[in-house]
Amino acid sequence: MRVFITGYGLSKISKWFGETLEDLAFKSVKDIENKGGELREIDALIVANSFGGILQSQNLLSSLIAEDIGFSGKLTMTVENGGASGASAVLTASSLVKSGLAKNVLVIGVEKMSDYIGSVFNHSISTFMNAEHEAFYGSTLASGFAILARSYLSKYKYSEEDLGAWPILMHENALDVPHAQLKFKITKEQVNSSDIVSSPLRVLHSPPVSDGSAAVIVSAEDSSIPKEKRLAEIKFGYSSSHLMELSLRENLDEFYALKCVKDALEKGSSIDIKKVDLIEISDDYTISAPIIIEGLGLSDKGSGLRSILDGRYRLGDKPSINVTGGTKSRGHPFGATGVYQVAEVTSLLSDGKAKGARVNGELGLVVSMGGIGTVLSGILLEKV
Amino acid sequence: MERLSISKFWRIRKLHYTLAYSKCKKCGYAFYPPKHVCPKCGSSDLEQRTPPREGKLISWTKLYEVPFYFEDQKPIYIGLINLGEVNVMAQIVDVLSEDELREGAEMEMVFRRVKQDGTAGLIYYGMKFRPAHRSGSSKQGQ
Repeated sequence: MRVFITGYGLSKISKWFGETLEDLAFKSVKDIENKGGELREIDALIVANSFGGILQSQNLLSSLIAEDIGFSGKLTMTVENGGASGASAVLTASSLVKSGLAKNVLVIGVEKMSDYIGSVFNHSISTFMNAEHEAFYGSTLASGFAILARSYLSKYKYSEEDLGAWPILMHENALDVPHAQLKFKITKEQVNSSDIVSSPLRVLHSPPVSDGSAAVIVSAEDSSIPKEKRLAEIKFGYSSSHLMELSLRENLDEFYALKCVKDALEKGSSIDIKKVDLIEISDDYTISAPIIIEGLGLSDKGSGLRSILDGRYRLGDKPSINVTGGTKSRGHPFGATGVYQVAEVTSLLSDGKAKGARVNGELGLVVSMGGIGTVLSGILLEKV
Repeated sequence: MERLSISKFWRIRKLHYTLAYSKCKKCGYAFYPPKHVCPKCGSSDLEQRTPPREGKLISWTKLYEVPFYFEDQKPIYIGLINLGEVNVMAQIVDVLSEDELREGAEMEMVFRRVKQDGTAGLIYYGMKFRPAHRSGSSKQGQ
C-alpha cells in the first residue's frame, strides 16, 4: 500500500497569547483548505502534542480538537513523543493507512509554550530528562545539550564562537518563510554577546518559545481523494528510542537512536540517505545540528560543524538542510514541530509555498528529535 | 503543575542519599540510574552497589534558565561526573572559580538541600558535588 501526503496546512509560529490550542489547530486545518486540500474524506485524526497535559492541564487533546473541528464519533488519538511527536504522529498515521483502518488521516501538530514565565518553560523541557534522577537535580534540555556542546567543542577543537555559524544560517534561511517565527538576520557579534542560557550555549543558539500548529493529510493510494491532490509519497518512516540519561551514554557526540532510524530507513526504502536532496532536522540548541548531520553520514565524525562553517547545506547544496530555518528560527512548538517539518518538505518538493522557492530534487527527509537524542523519528518523502 | 510529593521522594530517598547504582551479575555492566534490566545484556540479575564519594568531571554547564524549583539557587552548575564504574549527572556547588571545572577535575560528594515547596513545607535532599582537594575544604562537607 503506497501512502501519500494529500494536503498540508501551516500557521504562523509566534507567541499567540490571545489564542487557545483549539484556535491554533483550527488555523492549520483551515490552511489545508486554503491550499486546496480535501478535508471531507478524513476518517481518523491524530493530534501531536507534548505539553498540553502540563501547560494547559489538558489531556485527551485529540478528542477536544476533534469535537472543536466537527469531527465526531471517529478514530482519534494523541501522540506524545517530545519534539519528535509530530513525525511520530505522521508515522502512526501512515501505519493506520497501511493497516486499512483508515483511508485518510488528518494529523494536527499543535503546541503552546508561551502561557507561563520562563522558569515554567524550563520545567517543561526538563520533563524530557529522567524525572527522578537528572531532572530531580535541575537538569533541563538546555543543560543537557550544553554538556554535549562543551564536550563536542573540546573533543574536536572548536571554539565556542564556531557554534554561531548555524544560528546565523538558520536566521537567513527563515527570512522568506511565511510561517517562521524569527524572520530577521543576526550577526556573529549578536550571537556571541547574547545572554547565556546554559554555558556555552546562549539565547541565540537556542530555540525561541513558540506557539504554533501545522497539519497534514496522510492518504492511502486507494483513498477517494483524487490523485491530483497528491503532493508527496511517504516512502518510509521509522522511530527509535535510546537511553534517556546522559550518564548512561557511551558517547556524548552521537545519538544511537539516530543510527537505528537511519539504518531502518535505508533498509526499508532501499534509498541511500546521501541521495536525499532536502533534509529538515531538529537542530535543538545548535549542537544537535552537527551531531545529526554526522549521524546521517553526511559529514565525518567531528567535522559536521566544520562543514557548516565552510558553507555547506545551504539552499541549492545537496543536501539542503533546514532551508526553512530549523527549530532555531522557524520556531520550535515541540509537539507540532515534526508536522511543520513534514509539511515544509512536502511543500518544497511540490508547490514551494512554504518558502517561496522549490527545491530541485526528488527526495526529502524529516529527522525529528525528542529529548537529547532520546527519540528520533524519520520520515522519507518523495516528490510525486 | 508539579508539586513536591512525600511519597514520590520517600520511595527514592535511599538512591539520592548514596547514588547507589546497579551492577549486572551476568555481564558485569554497571549503570546509574538503576533499571530493572541491564541495558547491555537484558539480564534482571542485578546487585546494588554504592559508588565512591569522589570522582572526576567529564563535562559541565552553568545553567541560568532553571526550572521553577531552582529559581532561588540560580545559576546552577550541572556536571557529568565519573564515579569509578558509573557516571552520574549532578549539581556542582561551592564553585569558587570556573578554572576548577576543567575536564578530569576531582569532585567530591556532599549532602545538600535540592529543592523545597514553599507552601507545603516539603524539602527534598540529595547528593551534590564540589571541587575536591581544595585547600581548607573538609571531606565531610556541609
